[in-house]
Amino acid sequence: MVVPSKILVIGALGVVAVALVGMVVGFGHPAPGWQPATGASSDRLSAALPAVHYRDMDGKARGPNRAYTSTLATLVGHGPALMDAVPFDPKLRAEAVARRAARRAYNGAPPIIPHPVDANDVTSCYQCHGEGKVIGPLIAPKISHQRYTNCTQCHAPVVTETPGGSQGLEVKNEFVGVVSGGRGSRAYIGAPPTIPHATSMRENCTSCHGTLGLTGLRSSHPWRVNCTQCHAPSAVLEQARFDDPSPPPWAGETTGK
Amino acid sequence: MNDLDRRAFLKTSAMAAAAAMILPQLGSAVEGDAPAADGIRWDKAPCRFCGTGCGVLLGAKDGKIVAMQADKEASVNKGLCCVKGYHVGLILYGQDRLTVPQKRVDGKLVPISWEEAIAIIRDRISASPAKFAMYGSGQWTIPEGYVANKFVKGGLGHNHIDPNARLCMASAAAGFNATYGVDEPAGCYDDLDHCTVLIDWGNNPAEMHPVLFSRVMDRRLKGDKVLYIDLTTRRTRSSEQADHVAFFKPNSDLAIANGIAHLLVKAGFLDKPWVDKFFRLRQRVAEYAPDPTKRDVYDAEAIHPKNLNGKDITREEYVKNLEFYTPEKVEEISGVPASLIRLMAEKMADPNERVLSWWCMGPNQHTRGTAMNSLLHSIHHLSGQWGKPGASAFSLTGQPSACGTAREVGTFSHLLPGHLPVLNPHYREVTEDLWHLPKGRISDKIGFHTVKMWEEFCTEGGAIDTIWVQVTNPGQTLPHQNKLFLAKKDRKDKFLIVSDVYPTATTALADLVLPSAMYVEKNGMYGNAERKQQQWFKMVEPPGQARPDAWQVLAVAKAMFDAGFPGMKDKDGEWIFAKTLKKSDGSLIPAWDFAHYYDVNVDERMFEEYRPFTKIKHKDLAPYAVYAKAHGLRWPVVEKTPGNWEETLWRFVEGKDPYVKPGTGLQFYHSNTKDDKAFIWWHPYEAAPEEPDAEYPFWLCTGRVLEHWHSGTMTMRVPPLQRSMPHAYIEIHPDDAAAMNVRSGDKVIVESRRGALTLPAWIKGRGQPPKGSCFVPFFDERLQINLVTKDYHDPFSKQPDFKKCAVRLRKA
Amino acid sequence: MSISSLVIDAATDEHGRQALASIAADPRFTLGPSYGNRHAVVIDTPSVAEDTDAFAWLSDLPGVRLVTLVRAYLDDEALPAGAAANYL
Repeated sequence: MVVPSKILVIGALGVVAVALVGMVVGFGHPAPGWQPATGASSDRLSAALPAVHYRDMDGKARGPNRAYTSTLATLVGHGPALMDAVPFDPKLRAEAVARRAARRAYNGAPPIIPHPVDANDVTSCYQCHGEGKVIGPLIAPKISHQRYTNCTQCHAPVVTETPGGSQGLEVKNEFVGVVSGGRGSRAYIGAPPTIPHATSMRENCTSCHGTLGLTGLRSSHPWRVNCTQCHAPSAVLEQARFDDPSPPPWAGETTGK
Repeated sequence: MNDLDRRAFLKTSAMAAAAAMILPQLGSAVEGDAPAADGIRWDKAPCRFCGTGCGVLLGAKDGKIVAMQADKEASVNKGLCCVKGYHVGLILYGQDRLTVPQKRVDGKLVPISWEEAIAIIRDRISASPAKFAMYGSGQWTIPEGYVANKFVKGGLGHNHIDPNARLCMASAAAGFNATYGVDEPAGCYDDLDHCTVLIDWGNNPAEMHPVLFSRVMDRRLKGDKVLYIDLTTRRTRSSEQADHVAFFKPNSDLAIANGIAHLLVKAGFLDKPWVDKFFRLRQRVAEYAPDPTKRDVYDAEAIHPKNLNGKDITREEYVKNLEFYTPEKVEEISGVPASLIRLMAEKMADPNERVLSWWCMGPNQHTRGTAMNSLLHSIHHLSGQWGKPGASAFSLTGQPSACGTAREVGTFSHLLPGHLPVLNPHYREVTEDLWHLPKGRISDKIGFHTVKMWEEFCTEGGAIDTIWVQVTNPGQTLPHQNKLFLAKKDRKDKFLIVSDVYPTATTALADLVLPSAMYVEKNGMYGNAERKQQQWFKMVEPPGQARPDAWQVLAVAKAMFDAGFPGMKDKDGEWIFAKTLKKSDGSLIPAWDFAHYYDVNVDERMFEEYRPFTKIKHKDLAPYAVYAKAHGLRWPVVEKTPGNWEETLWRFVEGKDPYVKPGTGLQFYHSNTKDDKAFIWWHPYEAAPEEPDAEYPFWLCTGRVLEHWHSGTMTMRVPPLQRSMPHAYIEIHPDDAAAMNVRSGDKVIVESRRGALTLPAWIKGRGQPPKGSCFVPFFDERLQINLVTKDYHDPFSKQPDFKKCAVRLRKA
Repeated sequence: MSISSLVIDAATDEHGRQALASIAADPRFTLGPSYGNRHAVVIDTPSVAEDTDAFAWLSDLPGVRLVTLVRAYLDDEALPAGAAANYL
């Protein structure tokens, strides 16, 4: 297949989205894009195993899958640089919001884990999510909150670890949660928008808005580090006050008045 | 590939990409489907699930819960929840909510009106009130439990009401009563912020109390040193973070505690000044089970409730009894290395350490549960690891109001409100006075405890013919299901009434099903494991005709009163709830009519009537209005200056507890021996009544998992939780599995003398039992392990032992 | 040649039905499977400009509440620097 070099696929993110949706719905196989680092030739002659000097036997990869790599070091990639231009398009934002929604019951819920986990080894989460990593075609976002010791306390893997058996009670749930905080408000055109969501558990803005964030949510100025200098959080969302502090009508004689 | 082919290929893959995105997702995939984030009304509530009592904020919009947050102002969780708590609002929206009352006709449930349902219950109870029992819950709100308790004990004049908390923390309550003369922990969760050594006693807090677990584990990230010792019967997620993990043989926790006591005594701790000043040495009155071959057949006199507080034991005898429990001997009995017994004793003996023991169902679901709870308090008393922040013995609970409703409101068959024993004539009189009942209305006989109640119900001609179940699922959670629940199927004379929110294993056998309002569909109040009461207001309407449990009981009580049932009259001939529900002008608020239920805050009325009871045992609660504003308060809550209500963090400690006299240091003012002293107990290690043998060679342990709460009625309807943990399984040691040629995912039959169940095996899974034992969680209603468990129970608490019985395994 | 994958969220009323009918009749679009009120749609046009026009037309169509771009295959325009690099 001849692929013109001009062809660029914005929708690479679509591929990733599909891959992740695949994981979300429980496909276990690797995402598209996971291939041997150098394709083995179909040429019979070159496919023959080259002789290996006994001196190199120990360290040399051999066998039919010698070119396959799955070590983290070789899979780790790079995100955009700090100063790269950031595309912005309402379509991209909508897509990013939809992707976020696929991972959480409502905006603010801890996202599910879209990949299988070794349930008992919690510290390994930080290997990728500690600082955030690009791994093959996937992004492991940096944790958005302070470090805790028990990740699975809040984040449930969507790919169940339990072997065998059926898939549980098939009862639908009709809960419809808030999908996003919407957009922040601006005092005037060009003013920095307010933060439209709670910052609790999202103290680290770069997790979503930094260079490894979803395109559409990324900040146009990721090099600025003091976000709340310009973007104001909401007193209501920060639990500093309730919007409507008055008790409901059925509160009773002493509390209702 | 030519351009046309390529185009077709691209289009096909493009369509696949789009199609993949329309699959049903966790949330609403697109913003357009979902409510916008503005205009949400946020209000506080405790989490609906476990006894931790985390504060959550629920956001309601257009009559629906649309978002949740952890409450930053809640002292329990400080802005962090667990995966269940973050999804707590979803439990309201399972598609199969019960929305109309239903009656079983020819084996099928058919919808009926509320009027008809209330009339059926009225007639059924009135026909034979003595054969009616109520089976409630540690998930009843405080006012709900209070209404039900008054209905049965004040209205029907007997004490056949018991909560599912009997299955959960009855042994903890009995242990506190046996040791301090009064129930509930002296310490609180703040101990987690101060301890330097933490010991699990058969407990897996990383999954069952994750918020409390990370509250202490996260301290290590900040540089605090906390030595964490995990005494367990299987390797769990908690074990992963422990410094020392030791597997003990089931039931041998008694020996471990005695091993620590042995070393403390050897180190001269009986001569420490606090031992004589604050404590008495104590032992059981007589052997519980005189026949060593029948360890679950108890001597009636030895286990009489009056003997819960035992008798004195001399110092010489105490020392002599402990002589046997050398670290090496304990290692032999329990499997815990002698070096670890020594280490624990050393840590407890070190005045610079703050040792915290915590436990939950391990020592509670135990045929010597009361004894084991007492021993845990005792080793902390003896070592002096008590009464200082971080040095404590803390009993965790499993249900959100096991303390608040089951224990404090006294919905147990042996209690009256305020945790007052029914056997005490003075407390019966006090209750009759507070309820305006004629003298002698309250029965002096302890009612049936849970196991007995269901045994009578399932027996042809048994003493109970009607049970009304509220907020619990005995069809899944009672032990020995064939005997205690499923036997009902063949009993035509029995009638089962169930108030619930979803179809369950219990509604499957119910003759009458009532749809209940749940959680924030009604006002409520819960009391958590650290003596903290938390209040919430109704935030959304219940679906269909679902109504609060308290209303259901009030409606039946009123219908019985109207029909002339004498018990529903107080001593002035008025309805027993009339004085609770009067306006200031003397007219009665018709709260039994649902249209008028919210004319008044019934919760507040009931709570204010209940409050005087709480003062009797110094568990003082503040006025309702104070809880409406506060994010929870720990009792005793006393009014220090007018309008200024203060909670109590540590009981019995001078300067912390307002009821301790200055100059005493520690004062156990409810002492069983009336001398302000608590007890240091002696109890021997005894083997479990059923242990593995040649025929049934494996230990079976049952329990919970992080994602699901108890019988899973709510959490199995929450997609993120259900997907993560869709079904039950059996954990087996790899060697045992290999011997059966079983691999992960293979079906295994687990069989006891009582029943059998087929489950997929999970080897080297989340929990790893040692060789010769297996573990099955009980959340899955299609894979009910309680078909297999045994109904033997503790002599005092009557709490069954779900943690151990003998089974055999084979590949299916 | 530009090919885009979309998910549209159609209203459940008469407007929604009309919108789906006009999408089905338009040669630029191919309607795919649906789940509830979400429908998969592919846009196939000769150029990026026409693709963008088709997207805009769809967004403005009465009865279509929201259009979500899943993936785009654009043939005649360079990608802005950094736009997708983090996914490659």
